This record gives sequence, structure tokens and C-alpha cells, in this order.
Amino acid sequence: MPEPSGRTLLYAISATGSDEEGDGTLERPFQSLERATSAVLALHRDEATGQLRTLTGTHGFDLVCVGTPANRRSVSKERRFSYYVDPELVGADGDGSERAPWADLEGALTAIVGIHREQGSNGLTPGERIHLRVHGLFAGGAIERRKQLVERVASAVLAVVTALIVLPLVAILAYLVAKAWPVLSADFLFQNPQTYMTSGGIWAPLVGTFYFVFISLAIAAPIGVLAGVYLNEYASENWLTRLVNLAVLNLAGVPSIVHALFGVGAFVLFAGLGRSVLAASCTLAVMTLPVIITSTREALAAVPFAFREACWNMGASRWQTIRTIVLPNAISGILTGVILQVSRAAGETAPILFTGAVFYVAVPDQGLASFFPYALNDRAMALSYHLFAISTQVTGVSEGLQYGTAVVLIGLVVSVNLISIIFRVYLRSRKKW
Amino acid sequence: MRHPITHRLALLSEPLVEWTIRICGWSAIFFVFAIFFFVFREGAPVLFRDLDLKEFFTSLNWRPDSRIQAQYGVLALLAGTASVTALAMALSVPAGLGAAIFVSEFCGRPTRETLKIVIELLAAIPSVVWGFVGYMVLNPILIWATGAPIGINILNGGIILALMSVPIIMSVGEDALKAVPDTYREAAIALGANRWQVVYKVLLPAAKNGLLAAALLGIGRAVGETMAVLMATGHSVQIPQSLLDPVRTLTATIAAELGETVEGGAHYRVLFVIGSLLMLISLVVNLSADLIVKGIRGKQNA
Amino acid sequence: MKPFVALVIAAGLFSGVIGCSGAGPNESASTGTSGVVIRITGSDTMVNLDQAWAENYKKARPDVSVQIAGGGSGVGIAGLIDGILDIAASSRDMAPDEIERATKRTGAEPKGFTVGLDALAVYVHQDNPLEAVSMEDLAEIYGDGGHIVRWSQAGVKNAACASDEIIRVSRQNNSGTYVYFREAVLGTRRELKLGSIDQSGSKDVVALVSRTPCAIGYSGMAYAIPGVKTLRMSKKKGEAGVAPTAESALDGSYPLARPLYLYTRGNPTGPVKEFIDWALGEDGQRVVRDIGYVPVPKRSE
Repeated sequence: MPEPSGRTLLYAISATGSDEEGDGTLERPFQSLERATSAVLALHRDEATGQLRTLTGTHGFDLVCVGTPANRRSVSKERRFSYYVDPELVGADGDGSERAPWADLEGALTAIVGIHREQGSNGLTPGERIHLRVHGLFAGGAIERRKQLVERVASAVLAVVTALIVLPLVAILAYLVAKAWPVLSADFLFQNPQTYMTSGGIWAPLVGTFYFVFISLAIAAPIGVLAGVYLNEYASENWLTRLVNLAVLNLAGVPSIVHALFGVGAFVLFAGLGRSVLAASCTLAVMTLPVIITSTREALAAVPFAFREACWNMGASRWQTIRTIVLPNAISGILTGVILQVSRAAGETAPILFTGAVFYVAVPDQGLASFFPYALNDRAMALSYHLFAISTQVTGVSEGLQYGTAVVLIGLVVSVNLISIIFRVYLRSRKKW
Repeated sequence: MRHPITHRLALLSEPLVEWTIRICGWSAIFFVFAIFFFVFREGAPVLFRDLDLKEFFTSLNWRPDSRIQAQYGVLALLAGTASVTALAMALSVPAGLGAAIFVSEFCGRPTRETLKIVIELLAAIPSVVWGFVGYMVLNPILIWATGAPIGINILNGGIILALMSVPIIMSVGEDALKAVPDTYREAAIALGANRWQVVYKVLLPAAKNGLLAAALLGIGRAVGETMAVLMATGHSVQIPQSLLDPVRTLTATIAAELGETVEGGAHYRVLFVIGSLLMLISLVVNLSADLIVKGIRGKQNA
Repeated sequence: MKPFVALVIAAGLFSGVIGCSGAGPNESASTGTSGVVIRITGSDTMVNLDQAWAENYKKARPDVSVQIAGGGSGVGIAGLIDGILDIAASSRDMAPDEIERATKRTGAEPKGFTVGLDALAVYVHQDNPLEAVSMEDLAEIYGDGGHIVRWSQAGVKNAACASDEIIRVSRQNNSGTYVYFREAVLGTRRELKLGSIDQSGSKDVVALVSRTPCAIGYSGMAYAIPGVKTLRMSKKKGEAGVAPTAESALDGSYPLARPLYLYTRGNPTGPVKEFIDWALGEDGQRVVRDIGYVPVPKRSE
């Protein structure tokens, strides 16, 4: 039986082989090319009817000439003659080349024998290999194979590049959590910093962050949502709208330290708020405004125009339409944007650095007062600033405490983002259009 | 039938509501100008009196608190910002664009959704945490890997900034690739192109403006980053000779020094001037990105 | 419409609750004193000390809330001049022009209280064979135009440092430690060499030195950790040098000993005075010792 080599069947021929006793394997090769080719044909001839079956499962045949019965490894891969046959070829027969294959197997094999007849009765010299390839309509030629190789390489490279981004993130997070593990507990969250901030928990900064986030969003959300409403519902396609859109884009790109400078110049000094929770929250509000505007605008744009038209047809005014139909239908996108900004406001340090954050303030440990320890016109601790302070400015803070604070901050931010993602997916599934 | 009073109220309040909305809409313009105005206002007096602009931009000596002679040269700081940003972009633009191509063209649906969520979470990590990672985690790794005496330097800051910029480059790049009409893809496939050829020969040229905008936005983010570079770059006033040298950026200088300045003093005002410079840089970057994107939209409508 | 109105009212109530609660009666930050909030801002060297005081003072006077912020002595002094805080903690004296500006802005001349002593230690990596350094050499290492840039030039074979390069660790210029060091070592005529690694806190300096065999840095003696050693300091080259300890700081034999100050706006009154008295008293000074600094020597007033 011929030896399979991949999906190419291998028939061996040798001067010392035998046509009658050989079976085409490397150990017992055939002697002549004709014998080998008739063996190929026999494989595909239906015993009963004598008709040629269609070639399935094999892609080609290798007819190899070996000097003496030898093992597979000594079979040369050089001096390869490649011929092509295409059983599904419609039209004239070719000459066996890649571009013009033969049309049927029998004719192909006869032609091969004829071509190699000149070299002697074997038709092959030792070391030569004849490769007959079944060339389907969409099988690849050399160019095609190279294209596929390039694609596979490109795909692999891109996958590696993506992994290079994702893996460090996962590794860093895992490392942070591992280092923080001994410290994380309910106590850590609910206790105030103690013993000169080298032990205890992070309650006061945590509450402070909630203050900053809540107040800044209470300021930014109404303005941002209404601005998005303006941009999508009221503004017409003129230079003013273009300018507003440009301004939103630029506002989004302002560096965070410039926001801090603006906060100092405008809120701390000009508005006379001093360094306070209020000044810092206003600064954070200006920082989070552009994303709220953009996501509101996109959420409103996603509401089909037909909804609005239906309302107008019934006599509703523009604001009534927006208030009763458009806004409620866009609420998922709007809320997504707002929630995303929660995590941003919670994580930023620079804008609150000079406008309202404080290194330490003793706050009540228990009772209702510990939930509302800060006054609006006074400074407050914040988790982001706390992380900065204990990692660069306080001695004797155990590593676990620093990592713990970092992990809580990440956890806060990531969980808020996850909520927004889940919310977005849930609301999208409930959409009625 | 509506109650007559509420109907009249609605009629009266409608213009009021509309005007409120209009004012909120214009607020973005107001805030951008306000930021520039207030930052410039605090810095302006020194621009016309004490500050020699030539010295400002060309001198290496940043000694604002000197008892002998205050020197305000920001050249070393500019070099710091430029070097860290350049390294960050060299790492994040190929990575971000590569990931954008992979996610939008090559991978299957479930992988894509997971990757997008992962990248979104990557984008959410606050910059102070990144600074912490650079300072505590990457620092010893770099010392071990490169044998450099210190691990907080351009390389550290560049890697951290790259990890921070990749999400924005990836998401904007993905949008740019999605914006190429499917007809382009279909035509290419009909001609026998495989996925990579579609990307390389058709999508990249078609989306190149959007991808350029993505890179620019990444640059904007890197230039403006404060806390991460404050903690991870080593904060040293010098022109760097190698990637392993510590540097100081413009943003970190403001963050570190603003607190100690006396309101209205020269040092204070110079810091605001630096802030105005940063604002200008980010304005230019964002405007270019916007113009480039508008360019393709105009071309596609033609 | 109704749920919307309800939400707005709820938000308003919530904000009201937040605004009205808090640490006692509110006042604008610009007026500062009176009431039950004391704001101390300033020296990073002293921030742990301030914070320890705040914690302990809360036990003594639960009705008073002490707010601590760091940022450096410069921040504290700037805040005092701007009139936004009650007490500035500083690890250096206020300069004459600062005192003048403060007097002009706030109407009262700032009053300084020495609340402790600190010996500013020079740290090197524990594997560095150097044991002592003179002020002169230190000036050559840190000063502008100074010629000592390699450990071999300093007379030391620092085997742990492959490049033999001296890496100078310093503080950012908002730090009183930085200003004091510059003046004490370089005087008023010489600048510090640029290119040092400027850390934001006293702790970072020592942490960095402990990881960097090539480094040298200065910080308060209370910040020592395993992995670094402090150098003996001598005024002139060739002298034996004195180690930084509480005793050598007190008797003046250590050249880089400095007082730690609390500055107030004019003469303190009310809660601020009570706090300063407490800090200078036995409880406050015990805290000073706990943190690692030197209590003020007792002398008859």
C-alpha cells in the first residue's frame, strides 16, 4: 500500500524494485513508472463499474525514485517535478502546469509517463520526485500560498501585540491584589487612618472621594445633559454649532494640571471659594463635562427621528417631545456617560491637589457624623491624594497599606465602570427599536 | 383637555427652558475660553515684566527659588516632556493601532467583546495608580532588567504613559476603521484579497486620517499627563542622554511647585505661564486631530 | 415629570444635610482662626510630626479639629502669607522678604516657635564604604561647578556602584529641607547643581538611596531605614566628623542641625495659642521624641 505522507500519497520506484512483488512502499518499491501510475489509477477505479471515482481526501501523489530500498529520511526533496490536474476543469485540457492543469487523472498519468519516457524505462533517476497535485478550483497556487502565509503571520503578530497590552495589565493587577491581600478587610475600609497614617484604614479619604464625586456630578450632569440636548435637538448646522463641538473636543483634551490651575484661578481665587470641597468639586465638574456632553449627544442621536416626528404631529412642542419621549429613550446612553465620569472624578488627583484636598484631618470615628465629616467650604481627604501621600510622603507605611489603598481605588473605579457596562448592555437589550 | 393654568405655564416656561438649554449648550465654549483666560490672567503680568522669553525657552537653568538670581529656563523641562512623550508614542501607537486592527478585523465576536471590556477597564485606571505602579512595581523591575542605577526614568515613565495612552488610540483607531464603508471591504474580498490584504491595502489607506487623529489624541493625552510622570520619571532637571536618565516634565513641575509659591509672586506666575503653554500645545494637537478627521469626511461626501 | 421633581428635591435635601453637618460651625477659609478648626500646612519633614500632634491633640481636646497638609515648608509659608492658614510648619527660617510680605499682607508680623530640633542626615547605601564626609566635599558634590562627580574622586572605592557615578538625590524646591541644605552647605552665593533626582518627600529620598548603591541623599534623621547608613559629618576635610544623633543636634556639634518651626500670624490667640502651648508642653514634646526628632531643650523662660 502506498505510504501516506500528509495528504500526499507516496509511491516509491527503484531500479532494484519489482513491479510484480513491489507495492510502492519505500521498502518494496515498484520498478517502473508505468507500474506506479497504474497503481495510482487503481486506487481511484471503482472495482464494480470500472469508472474513476472523484478524488477526495488526497491532494496529490508523489512518485519518488530511490536508489535502493531506503527509509523515508533519505528520500530527496529536490529535483521535484510538479504537475497539476484539475478534475473539475471545464474547457480545454492544459499541459499539466499550474495555470493550465490536465483535466482528468488517467490522461494526466499517461502524459507523465510519456514525458519521462526519454530518461529510460524507469522514467526517473534516483533522487527525483514527481509530484502530481490535484488542483481544485479554489486551491492555492504559489502566490496564494504566500498570501495565506503573510496573513497568518500578520494575524499572529497582531494577536501578540494585543496580548502585550492585555497581559501586563492583568499581571500588574494580580500583583497589586496579591500584595494588598493581607490588608484588605472590612476594617480597612471603615477605619480612619491611625498612628500617624501608618496603620488603620482609609475611611476618611473614602468618604472624601464620595463627597467630591457626588458634588461634582451634581454640578456637571445637569449642565452636560442639557448641553447635549442643545447640540442634538436645537442646534442647526452653522458655524456656531461647529464651534461648540470644537470647544467640547478641546475641553476634553485639556491636561489635568491645567484644570487644577484653572480651578485655582477661577474658583479658589476669583470666586472666593478658597481651598474647599466646593472649589475642588467645581474643578472636577468642568473636567467631566465634555464626556457627559458627548455621550448625551450620541445617545440622543440614536433615538430614531420618527419618534420626534410622531410627537410633533400630535402637537407637542419641542421641549415636551424631548422631555417625554426623547430623553427617556436616551437615558441608557446618558447614564452610561455619567457613570463613566464617576470613575474619572474618583480617580483624578491633580485637579483637587491645590483646590481642596488635604493631607490629613481628624474625622469622627463613629456615628452619623463619620458619614458626613466634611464641610463644603473646607478641605477634605481624598482617596487618590491619599495614595499619593502615603506612597511618597509618609514614612513607615507598610507596603501592604499602600498596595491596599491602590487596590481599593482601582476596585472602586473598575466596579463603577463595570456597572456602567452592565447597565449599558441591559438597557440596550430592552430597547424597543 | 389641559387645565388652562398649566397650559399657560407651559407656554411661558417653554422659552425659559429653551434658553436654559441654549446657555448650557454654549457653556463648553465658555469654559474653554474661561480656562485659557484664567490661566493666562494669572501668568500674564510676569510675561510682560520679569520674564525674558528667550531665556525661558532656551535656558537649561530652572532655579525659580534661588536666593541669588531666579532663573526660569524651561528647556530641560521641555526636553523631559518631549522625551517621555516620544517614547510613549513609539510604544503605544503601533501597539494601539495593531490592537485596533486585530479587534476590528481579525478576531471573533466573543474575543472582541472581552477585549473591548478589558481595554475599557485599562482606560479607567486612575493616573495616580499608574504612577504608583511605575514607582513601586516597574522601578525594581527596570533596575533588575537594565542594570541602571535607578529605575525611575524616561523608560519607566514612557512605558507607563504608553499603557495609559493605548486605550484611547485603540478606541479612536477602531472607530476610524469602522468608519470605512463595508463596500470597500466587500470589493476587496471579491477581488480575492484575504483579511490581511484587505487591512493593509484597503483599510489602512482609507482610514489613515482617522488613525492619524488617534495617534494625535494619544500624544495629547501623554503630554498632559501629570501624576503618573510625577511619580515615575525621577524628577530631575537635565537634558537626558539616554533612556535610562531621569527627567522632569512640564506638568510635574507645576504639580510639584505650585503649592510652595506665593500667590502673585514671580514663581507662581511663571508656573501659570507654563500652564498656558501646555494649554496651547493641547489646543493645537486637538485642533489638528479634528481638522484631519473633518478632512476625510469632506472627501467621502465628495 | 413627577419622578424628576422628586429626585431634584431629594438631591437638594441631601446636599443640605451634607452642607450643614461637618466639624462644627463653618467659616470661610480665608479668615482662619476662631472656631474649632486649626489648619497646619507646610514642611514635609514635619508632616508626620504634625499629624501625630493632630491625633494626640484630638484626645486632649475632642472639640478641636486639626487639619494637616504637607507640600513643603514653602507651601506653608506661602499659605501664611496668603492668609489661608493658621499655622505654617517649616523646617527652615522664614526669609526676611517673606516676613515682610506676610506682615504687609496679613497686617501682623509672623511669630515663630521652635518646636523641635532635627539633624539633617546625609545618607548613602549600606554597601557604600564611605563613613564620613566634610561640608567642603559635600559642597563640591552638590554645588554648581563642583568637581566631585565620581565616587573615586571622593576618595572612595564604591564597589557596589558599577558606573562609579555619584547620583545625587535631592528634594524638590518647595521643601524647607532643600532650602536649609542649600544654605547650610553652599551658603548664599552658590546654586545647587542641576540634574539631581528631586524627590517629593523626605521618605522618598531615603527609599531611593536604599535601592541605589551609587546614590547619596539628605533627609531628616528620623527617616532612616535599613539599607542606608548615615554619614558622620565634619566641617572641614580631614576632621573626624560627628554622627547625627539627638545629643549632637542639641549640643551643636553636628553641623547640619536645624530647628523646626511653627509660624503663626502675629501673636497667637485662642485655640491656636492653646495648641502651640500644648505642642511645646510635655505631651507635645513627647510626641516629638516618639517621631524621632529632638525635643526642644528645656530652659527657663
